[in-house]
Amino acid sequence: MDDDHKGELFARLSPEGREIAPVGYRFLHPRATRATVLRLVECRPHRAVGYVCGGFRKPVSRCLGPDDEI
Amino acid sequence: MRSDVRAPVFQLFACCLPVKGARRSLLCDVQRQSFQFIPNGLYEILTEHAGKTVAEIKAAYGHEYDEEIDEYFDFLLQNEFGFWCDDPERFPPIDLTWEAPERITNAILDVDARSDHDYARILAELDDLGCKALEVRCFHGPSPAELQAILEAARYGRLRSLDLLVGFHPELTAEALLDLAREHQRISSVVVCSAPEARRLPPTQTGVTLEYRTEAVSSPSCCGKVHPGYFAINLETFAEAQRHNTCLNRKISVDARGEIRNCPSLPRSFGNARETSLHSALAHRDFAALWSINKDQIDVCKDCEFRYVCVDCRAYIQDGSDLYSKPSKCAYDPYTAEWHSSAERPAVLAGVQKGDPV
Repeated sequence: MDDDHKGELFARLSPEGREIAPVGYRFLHPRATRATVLRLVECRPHRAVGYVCGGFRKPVSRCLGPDDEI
Repeated sequence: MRSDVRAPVFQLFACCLPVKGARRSLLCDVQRQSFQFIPNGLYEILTEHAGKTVAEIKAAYGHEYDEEIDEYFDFLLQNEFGFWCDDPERFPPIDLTWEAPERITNAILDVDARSDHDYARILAELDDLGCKALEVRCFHGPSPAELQAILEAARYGRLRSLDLLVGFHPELTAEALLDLAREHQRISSVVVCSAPEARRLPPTQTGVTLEYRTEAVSSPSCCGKVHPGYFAINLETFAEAQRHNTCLNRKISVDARGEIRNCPSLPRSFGNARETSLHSALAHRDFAALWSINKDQIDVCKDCEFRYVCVDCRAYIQDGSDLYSKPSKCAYDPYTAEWHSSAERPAVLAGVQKGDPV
């Protein structure tokens, strides 16, 4: 979904909806004019809490110490 | 109205997996790649009292902890770890059986100034074995042209990710490295060590991370570090960790001299890549021996709440004579739930000693 499209969708959300952390959107109807924007179960991964791991897969080797101060 | 309607029970999302430690437990969310610490009391409720109503759980504890139990469920609900339901049998647990079609899933290729690898051959063999993830560690500072030669060999094939760890070279500017990453889209991360100053660039549009670090990584002995930055909280690692070694399982390595090993830090060589194919090294009876050492068998790790998200090390262990000894570069004590800063004790190599017959 390109940014413009996302921006347009975001504008159509209710004020409460905008308060929720940014998530993915999806049209339920193929015609944009009648589209219903829903926040889906798919948004769950985006609302991580606690300690979040950055990588998607395990590291192959582990030569580096904890992050340098940058 | 039916009178036998049961009160709802709390059901964890299948992706939220509790892990008990000696002092505290972890609730791993393998979908969100995150975890939260939970007290062992809550772990007990989630496992031993799963499927019971709140009233039943409170009664099981003699109503001594009613308030705490309510707080626990508020916490779980608020953090979206689960939901109330009437039909928990409709939400079976995730099957944590780990299987992979590839004979090798990940590999390390070490390079230094004296290396004389036949990159095309090694990469072709890795591809043949199904290798998905490769880390190339150049302990010297390679020029962009040297890197290009290695990457050229990895241009085609099944590799899904290529991590580069290289020493500093003045020509390895961010622009040069980003150009390489643009040309070779299998590159997923580049770390330049021994850099004059630390710097991390924002990920590119394709998600490539580029980082300059001041610390030196000059040999395989730098490997084996255990800290939260290396935790991997995902279903694949969690499932693999149940039965297999999270570092060595389905891994093959070629060290800077061309020796084929489980990992470049382990002493046992299964032949030199110039004369021995990776296939025949892999076919050796002992090659897969370490693959099945899982965290539930390793001393101390078996009591650690991080054991299914932590990547193990069998090369640097506290007791070289015990294959099931704790990684020596791990500074975490699960019995006190504290990280100690004196992380690195003298490294001890496991298994056979260098110079042993192949």
